[in-house]
Amino acid sequence: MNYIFHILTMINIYLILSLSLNVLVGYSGLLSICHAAFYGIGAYISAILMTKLGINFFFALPIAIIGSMVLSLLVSIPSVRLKGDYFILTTFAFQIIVFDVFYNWVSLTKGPYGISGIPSPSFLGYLITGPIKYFFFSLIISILCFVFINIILEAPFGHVLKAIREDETLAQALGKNVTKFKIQAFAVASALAAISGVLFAHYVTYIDPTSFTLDESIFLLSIVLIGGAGNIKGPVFGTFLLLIIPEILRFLGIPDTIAPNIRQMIYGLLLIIFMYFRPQGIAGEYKFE
Amino acid sequence: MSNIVLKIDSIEKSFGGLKAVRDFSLFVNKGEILGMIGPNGSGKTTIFNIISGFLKPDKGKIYLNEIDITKLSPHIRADLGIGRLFQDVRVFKKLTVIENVLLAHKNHNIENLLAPFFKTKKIKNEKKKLTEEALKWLEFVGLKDKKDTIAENLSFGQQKLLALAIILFSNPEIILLDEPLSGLDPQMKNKVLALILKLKELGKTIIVIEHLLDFVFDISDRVILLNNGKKVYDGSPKGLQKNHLLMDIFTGNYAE
Repeated sequence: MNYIFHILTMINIYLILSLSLNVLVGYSGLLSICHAAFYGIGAYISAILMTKLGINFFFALPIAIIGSMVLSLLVSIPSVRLKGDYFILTTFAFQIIVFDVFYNWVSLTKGPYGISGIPSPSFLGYLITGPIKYFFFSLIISILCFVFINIILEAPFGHVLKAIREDETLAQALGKNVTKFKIQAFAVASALAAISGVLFAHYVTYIDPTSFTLDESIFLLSIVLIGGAGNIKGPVFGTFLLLIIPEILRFLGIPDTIAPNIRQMIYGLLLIIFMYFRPQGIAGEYKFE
Repeated sequence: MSNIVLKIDSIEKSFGGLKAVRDFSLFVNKGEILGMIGPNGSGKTTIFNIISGFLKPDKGKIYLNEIDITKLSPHIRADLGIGRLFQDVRVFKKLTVIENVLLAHKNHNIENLLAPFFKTKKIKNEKKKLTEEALKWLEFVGLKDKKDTIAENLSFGQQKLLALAIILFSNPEIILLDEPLSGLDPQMKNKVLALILKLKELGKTIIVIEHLLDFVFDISDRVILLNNGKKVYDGSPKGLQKNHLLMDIFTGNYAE
């Protein structure tokens, strides 16, 4: 039973990650490969605040969100001038830098040893711990995030993002402040990724830099592209599919030593197959050309 | 307030060693249709890019209704009233026709990130009002029955009509039309032509770039002729028709 709730909890966390990445990739047309960096920033800020300063979870969460939004400016401001491949390189660089900070700033992040003993959240004296309780907790937060994303994307704000994705020049010629919208989209996506990070850190109670690597960013991008970018359904499909595949492998009795490699191969293969035969993903509206 | 909508004061623009626009000045009166003609590479589209803000001039000033817009970015100029039809028809391809038009509204408050949480009612009312207005312009260009079609499924000509509807919806002070007739079949040409004439009746101020000289002479109140980034004629269409300049430039026999 705990096993199923554990997987469902991870699905909740990844739903927030993929839906927020979709705000960039699917709606704004900004292909980002640093989403795991913001996921990690959220996790680390809150883990450090709680283990070192003993701050309550519900204070640490907003601080992590704001921290992540502020750091998102480092990527979104250059993106104003950099287009296409150059923008992807910026996000790549950011991902590498953030990982290096996690790994090497030992006095703050404990580097490769990671931070252990991260306390579970407690709400009015009630400790949210164990897969079942945490599942419901993460479910509430992921539903709130889902609703939030849905509302902003259905609103005129979301329409302008789509317009920028389709034709930036025309959007400008119609009076849209493209710079402002891109910065806002990035801030929103980073804030939501930070929420996932916080949820993750306090669920597993131990984090180290290996959870927030470039591989992870590419994995998140695969979820969005295979599920389908540009609407809400796509990332939801993608998250369920790509998170359940490793569990199926487990049931097939594939030894733990080779399972991760097989998993990577399946992800890679899926990505190639989809890009070739169905570039818009399972349920997406938008394809990269 | 003066009658001049747009005033360009001796702008210059070079790309590397090439002087694309040379000491170019112009004023456009309210309600006037100004034709801009000249051979390929004479700087017509560059001037449009400078007016709409996608290029910054090396020298000179541009005024819209007496406001200096020389240093403003394209989106601010659009808000101040510069509407532009691009040469290579631009529409938002994956969006529906009506969504395309609605994007041209100027009430940016409802586009704020947090507006849907605090201004639900305002957005709803505004959307209703804007949709009515958008449908009016779609009817004007004859695309009302296609309002829910995805723009990329429209024919090239229909996309041009849509691009026109988008600009009209934004109600600009001055409309820049870059080759509105290029790539259209005769039937569609007549349709666009009729629309431009209707715009003239509505009192819109327009600058039009077009290679079809008969068309330009027909609709323009005034024409300017460009050659190598320099204005060589500014006056009535009739005057130019009688002038040997036109023949010389288009046959390559013009010497400065």
